[in-house]
Amino acid sequence: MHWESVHFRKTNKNTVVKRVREVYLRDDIPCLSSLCPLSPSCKDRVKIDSSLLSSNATHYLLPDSSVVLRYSELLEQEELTDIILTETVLQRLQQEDRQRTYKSLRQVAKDSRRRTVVFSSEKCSATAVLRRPGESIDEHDWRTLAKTAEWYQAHLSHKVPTIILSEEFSQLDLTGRVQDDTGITVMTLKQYLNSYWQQTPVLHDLLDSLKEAILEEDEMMTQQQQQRHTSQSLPGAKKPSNTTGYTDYKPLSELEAGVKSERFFQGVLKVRPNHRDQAFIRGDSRIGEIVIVGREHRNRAVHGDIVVVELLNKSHWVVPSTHISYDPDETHAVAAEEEEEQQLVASTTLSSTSSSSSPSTRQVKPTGRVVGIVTRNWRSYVATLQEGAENESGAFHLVLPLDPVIPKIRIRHQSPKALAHQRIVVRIDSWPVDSQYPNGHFVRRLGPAHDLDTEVTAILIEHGISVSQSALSFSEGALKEMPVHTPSQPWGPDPVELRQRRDLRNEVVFSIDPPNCQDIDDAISIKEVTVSGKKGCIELGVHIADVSFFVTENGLTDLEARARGTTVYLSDRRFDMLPKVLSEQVCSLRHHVDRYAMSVIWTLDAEANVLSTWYGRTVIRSTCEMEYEQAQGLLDGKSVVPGLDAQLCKKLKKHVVLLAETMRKIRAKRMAKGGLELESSEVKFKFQEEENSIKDIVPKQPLEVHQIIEEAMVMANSYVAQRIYQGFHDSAVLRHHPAPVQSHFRMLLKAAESRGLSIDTSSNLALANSLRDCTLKCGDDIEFLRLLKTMATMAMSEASYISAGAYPVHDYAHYGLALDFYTHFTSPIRRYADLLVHRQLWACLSQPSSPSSLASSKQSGGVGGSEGMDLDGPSSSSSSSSSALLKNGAKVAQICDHLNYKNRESKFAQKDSTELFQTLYVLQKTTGHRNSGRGGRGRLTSGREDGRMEVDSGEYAPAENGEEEEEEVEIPLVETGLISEIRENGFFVFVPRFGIKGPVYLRDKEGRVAIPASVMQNSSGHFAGEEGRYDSSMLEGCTMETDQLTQTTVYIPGHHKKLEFRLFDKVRVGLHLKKSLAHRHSIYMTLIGLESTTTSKNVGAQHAKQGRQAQVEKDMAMARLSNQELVRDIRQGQEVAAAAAAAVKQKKRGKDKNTALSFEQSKPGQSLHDVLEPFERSRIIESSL
Amino acid sequence: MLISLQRKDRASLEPAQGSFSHHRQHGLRIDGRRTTELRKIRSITSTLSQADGSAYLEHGNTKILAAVYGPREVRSKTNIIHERCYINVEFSMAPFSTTERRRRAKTDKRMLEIAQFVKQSFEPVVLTQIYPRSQVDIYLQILQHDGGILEACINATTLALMDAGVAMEDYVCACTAGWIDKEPALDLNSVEEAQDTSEMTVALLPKSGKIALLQMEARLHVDKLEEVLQLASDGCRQIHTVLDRTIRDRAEDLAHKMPSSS
Repeated sequence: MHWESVHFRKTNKNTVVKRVREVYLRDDIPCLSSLCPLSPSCKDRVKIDSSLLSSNATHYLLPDSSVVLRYSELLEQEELTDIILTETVLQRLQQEDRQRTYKSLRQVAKDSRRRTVVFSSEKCSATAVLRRPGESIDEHDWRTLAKTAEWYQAHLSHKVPTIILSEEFSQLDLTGRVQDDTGITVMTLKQYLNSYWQQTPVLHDLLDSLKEAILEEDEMMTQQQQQRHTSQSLPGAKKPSNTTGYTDYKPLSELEAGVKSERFFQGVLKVRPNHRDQAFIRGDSRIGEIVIVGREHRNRAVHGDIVVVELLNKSHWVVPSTHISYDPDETHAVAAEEEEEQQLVASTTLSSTSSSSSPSTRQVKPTGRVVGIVTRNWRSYVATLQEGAENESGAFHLVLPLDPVIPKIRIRHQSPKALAHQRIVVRIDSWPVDSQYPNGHFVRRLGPAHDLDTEVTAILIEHGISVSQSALSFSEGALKEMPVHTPSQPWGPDPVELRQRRDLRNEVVFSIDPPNCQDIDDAISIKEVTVSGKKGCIELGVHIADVSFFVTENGLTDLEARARGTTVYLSDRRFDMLPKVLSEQVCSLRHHVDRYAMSVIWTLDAEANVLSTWYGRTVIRSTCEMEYEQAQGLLDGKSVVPGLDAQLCKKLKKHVVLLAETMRKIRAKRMAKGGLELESSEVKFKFQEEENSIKDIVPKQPLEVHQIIEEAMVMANSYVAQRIYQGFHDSAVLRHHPAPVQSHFRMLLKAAESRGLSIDTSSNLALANSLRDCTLKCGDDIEFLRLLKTMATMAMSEASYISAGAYPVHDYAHYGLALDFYTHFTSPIRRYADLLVHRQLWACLSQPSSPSSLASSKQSGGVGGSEGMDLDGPSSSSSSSSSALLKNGAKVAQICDHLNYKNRESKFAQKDSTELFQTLYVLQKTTGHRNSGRGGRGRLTSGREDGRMEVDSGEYAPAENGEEEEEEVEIPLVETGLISEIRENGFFVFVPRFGIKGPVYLRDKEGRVAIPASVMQNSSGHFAGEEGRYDSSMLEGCTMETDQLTQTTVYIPGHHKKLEFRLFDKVRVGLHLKKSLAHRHSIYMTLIGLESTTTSKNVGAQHAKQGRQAQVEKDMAMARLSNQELVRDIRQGQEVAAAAAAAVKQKKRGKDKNTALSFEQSKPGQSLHDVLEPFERSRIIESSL
Repeated sequence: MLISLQRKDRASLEPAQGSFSHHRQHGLRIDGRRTTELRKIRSITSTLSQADGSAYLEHGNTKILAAVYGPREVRSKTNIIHERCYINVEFSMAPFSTTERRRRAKTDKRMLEIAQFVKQSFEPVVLTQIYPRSQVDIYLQILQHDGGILEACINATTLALMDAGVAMEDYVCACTAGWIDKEPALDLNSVEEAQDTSEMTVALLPKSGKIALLQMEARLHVDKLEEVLQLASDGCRQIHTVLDRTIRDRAEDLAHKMPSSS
C-alpha cells in the first residue's frame, strides 16, 4: 500500500473550472528493462505483462513531446527499437487530441519485437514533478523527462546510455553543460540519425519529408493568422475566394447533438471503386444507404473515414447510376468526375420524367453532404507520381494512389525525377479547406512501377501485411525457440513426453493432400472395432499437427505468429505464419517418422452415430502421404495407383473405402439438417477455410475424396468447438456464420426467375434444397449454375471468429454448415485461430483432476452428431492450468477481431495478386500476338533484362495515344463469356476460362449505342479460329432499351432485327488490356458476337456431356498443374529474351486454344480459371461491404 | 439486508466531469492506484462539540462530516415507536462540494435515497430496543465530492454513532467496487464513476461477515458479480481496521486526559 499522496491541481482552462485529482505516487513503477538489477526484477514484483527493453541495446531512446507530437511516424518505423515512451508525452498526445498518434504508439509498445515500453512517469515518486507556478507545459514535461532519464541511469547503474530525443531542448537545458558523463545525451532527430543510422536512407528520407510537411503546416498556420488579422482590421475586406467548394466542418459538439437528434447521420464513408464520384455511408435502418455525390459534398472525407452526413433536400435525391464507368484511369479525373456528375443528374431527370418505368427497381436514394469527420482513418498509401510531373519545377507534386478510391495526394519532394515511374509510399497529413487535394508526405520508395516484385510489395502494403512477414524472416530469438532439425540430426520425440501421450504409432494413419504438400496439418485413421459386444463399430481418428506443443504461449514465435495471423498465399509466393522448420518439418505430419499430434477419436456405430469421443495428445507415424488423386483411384476400385507400390495400396484401400462409406453417412445427416451443398462449383464457401491455400485447389468437378476429407475436418472442428465451449463458456474461440440478410438474395431470385426457376431462401435447408433442384433441372448448363451459385454466395454474410463470451449462444451457429458449434481446429500450421483452439482444448483436457491427457473425456451420446447439441451441457470447472489469456474473454475477443481482420486482408491480397497475374496473362497473350503481327516491335518486348515485364515508358507518352485504335484492330484474345450483370450502358461478362469478369460497353461515352457489326456476322454461333478478322466497325443508328437486372434489347434499324442480351447469355468477347501507369492494368472487353441461345442449349448440352467425360480423363493431368507451375509459366514467358521465339510459341498456343474453344467452351487444360476459382470467394466480402 | 438494483441516473449528484479516456497502464488506475487498493482514508471523531457524537472522514478527496444527536426524546409524537428507538437520517451536500457550484433542493430524490440507505443499514445494527420511545438523529454533510459518497456516509455514521456512545452490534463498514476496463476495481473515484461504470456498494459487519447493504449501479454481468462482491468485502475489512484504529486512538486519548480514578 502506498499512501503517500500528493495532490496535483490541474485547471482546465477551457471550461474555467478547477479540477482536482489526486495522484498516488508509487515506488514500485517497473523499469521494464531486461537489465533490471533487482531480483526478482521490478517487473516481476508487480506482475505485469509488457514488452521489455533489450539487454544488449547500445542505447535507450527517450523521445520528448516535441518529437512525439510531430515526428511520431519516425518512431513507428520498425528499425527503431528500445524506446521508452513516458506517460507524460502520451498524456500530452491526449491533451492535444491526437488519438490516432496515441493509438499507433500504443500499438508499437504492444509489439514485443519493438522492445518499446511505456513508463508511468507521472505515477513514479522519483520522476513526477509538480508544475511550478507560471511554468509552461513543455518545460514541465521536459523536467519530468530529464528526471526519468536520470532515474533510468541510476536504476540500471549506468549500464546503458540514454538518449533524449528533442527538437526543442538541448544538452544545455539538461545539465547546463555541453558535455557531461551522466550517460544522458540530448540529440535532435537529425543528429541521432546521423550518428546511429547513417546507413539507413529510408529513415533520413522520412525525416526530411516529415520536416517539410511540418514546415508547410507552419507556413499555413502563419498565413491563416495573418488572414485573420487582416480580416479583423478590415471588416469590409472580401474573404479570399474559396474555389475548392469545400466547407468547414461543424464543431464536434454540434455533430454529436445532430447525430443524437437524428438530424445528421454517422457512418463509415465508402467510395465505390468503379464510380469514384459516388461515395456512400450506411445510415441506420430507417434511412438505409446515403449516397454522397461529387467532390464538394464529400467535403474532404477519404474512403474509410467515419463521417457525419447531413441529408440534402429531397429534390436532390438520385437514382444511383447503373452505368459502368468508362475511364477508371484518373488522368483526367476532374473532367471525368464532372462528366459523371452530369450523367447522374441526367439519369435522375430521366427517371423523374418517365417515372412510370418500374419504380420499384429504380429506387431513389437519399443523398447527403459531409458536415464533419469523427475519425480519420488514414493509413499509408502506395502511389505513383502523376505523369509528366517529374519535369515540372517546384516542390509540390501530385501523386496518384494505387487504390482508386483514394484521392490524389499533394506531396512535397525536392527531386521528382527520382520518383518518376516509381511506386512510392505516401501518407496523408492534412486536408485544409482551401486545398483541392490532401497534403501528404513521401515515406519510402518501393521500386519501378509494374515490376513484379514492386507490385507484390505494393499489395502487401496496401493490405497491411507486416514488413517482417513479407521479408519472410523471423527474429533470431524466435528461431532460437525452435526445435533442432537438420538432415544429420533429425528431430525425434522425447521419451519422457512419449509416455504422456497415447501411442498410435502402430495404427494405420494416413494423410490425403494435394501433390507436393509440405505442411501437412491433418492425418486420418479408421478401423473397425467391437465395442461392448456390438460388432461393426468404427473408430475414426482425426490427427492434427500438435503445433501448440512447440509454440509456447507468449513466446517470440507465438507473438510473431499472432501478429501475422495467417499464412498468406499469393499467386506466386507465400508468406508463412510459422518458421519453416515447424511448418514443413517438425510439425508437418510426414510419413515414416514419429510426429506429435492432437487427436480427436470417435467411436461410431454402424450407422455412423457417435458413441463416444476422445480428445488428447498422441504420437503417430503416418503410413503414407497420399495425394487426392491416388486416394480417389483406390476408392474407384483400382488396385494400384501411380506413385504408390502395390502392397501399400492393398493395405490402404480398405481404410479409404471404409472412410468413404462412413463419411457419406455423416455428410448425409448434416445435409438433412440444412448444410449448404454447393458442390461442383468454385464458390464452396462451406469449406472456404479449408481452401485457403493454393494447394487446396480442386478440379472443377471435385473428387469425392475432397468431400470426404472436408467432412472429417468439419466433424473434428465442430466436436472440438463443443468441447472448448464446455471448458471456456466465456472465451472459447468459435467460428460463426450468421444467416444472410434476405434482401441480399434479390439478385439471385431475379436471375433464377429469368430462367424460370424458383429459389426459396427462407432457411439454409430450403436454400440448399432449391439449389439442388436447380442443379437437377439445368444440370447441363454448368456455367449458368456456377454463376447462380456465385450469386448465392455473394448474398452470404461473412464467417468470422468470435469469443464465446462476446455473443449470445444462439449466435454461435454456422449457417453454411448447419452446425450449432464450429471452430477452426484442423490447420494450426497456417492459422493462428487453430493454435488458440488447440491450447484451449488442451487446457480443458489437462484439468487438475486428470493426471494426464490419457484421461479421456467420455461423453457418450450427449454430444452425438445426430442428436441436437445440449446447450446447457455440464460445464466443467475452468481449468487451473490454463493461462490467463485463454480465459480472458475480452482478450480472446480482441485477438479474434485481429484474426478476422488479418484473414480479410489476406483474402484481399490474394484477390489483388490474382488480378495482377490475370492481367499479366492477358498482357503476355496480347503482346505475343502483337509481336507476331508486327514482326516484334521493339517497344513491346515482353521480357526485358531488368525483369520489368512492362512496356517501355514511352508507351505512356501522350504522343502514342493516337495509336491505340490501331492496336485495337488486332483482337488478341477471344473468349466466350457469360453475361453476369446488366447495366444501363452495357454489361459485365464473366469469362470462365480465366475467371475474369470485365465490362462490355454498349454505349460509347457520348451515349450513342455502339454495336460492332461483327455481331451480325457471327450470330450463327460459329467461330473460326482466325482471330483478328472480326469487323469492328460500328453499326449505325441502333437504339437500346434496358430492363434492369435481366435484359437489354438493341434495335438495329438496317437489319430490321433486334438483339437481346439476357442475363447468363453467352457472348463472344475480345479481351483487352487497359494500360495505366498509376494503377494496375485493367482488363476490359469488347463485344464480338453472341451465341444464339438455341444452339447453345442443344450444342451446349452435348458439349457438356463430352466435357465431363473429357474432364474425368483429364482430372489427373489437370490437378497436377498447380498454381505455382502456372505462375512459373507466366514468369518463363516473361523471361524469354528472344521476343520472336516467344511470339511464335505463343501464337501457336493461342491458336490451339482458340480452335479448341470453338468446339467446347470449357475445355480443361491450363485454364487459369481452375487455379483462380478459390478467389471467387473473396467476392463475398466485396459484395457485403 | 437490503438489495437494490437500479439504472444509473445520478446526474444530480455527479460532479461535473469532462469526457476523459483512461487507458490503464500496467494495471495502474488513473490516479496511480492498483485495482485492489483503497484511497487514503483519514478520520477523526468528536470534531463538533455541540453534537453528542461526531466524525469527520476523508476518503481520498471525498470529505464528509457526520453528527449524531441522541438518543433523545422524540421530537414529533407521530414518530414514537414504543418498543425501540426511531432513527432519523438527514443527508445534504454543500453547494461547494462539486466543481460546479450548485444548491440542491432538500427534496432531491437521490439525496433522500442515500439517507434512506443509511437509515436502513443501521436500523438492524443499532441496538434500538434498549432505547424505546426515543430518537437518534444522524446528520450527514458532504463537504467535497470525489466519488463513493454512500460508502463515506456509512463509514462516517459508524464513527459518529460510536462517538455518541450509541450501542451497536458491530461496526458497519462500507466500500465500493466496480468493473472498469474489463477488470474489477476497488473504491472508485469520481472520474471512474463518471462513465457508465457498474458499481457496487457493500456494507459489511466485519465480525459476523453479514452484509448490511448491497447496492448496485448500472448493469453488471452475473458471472462477474461474485468477483466484485468479494473485492468489495475485502475492502470493507480493510476499512474496518482503519475505523477501529480511529476509535481506539480516540479512546486512548480520552483515557490519558481523564483524571485517573484510582
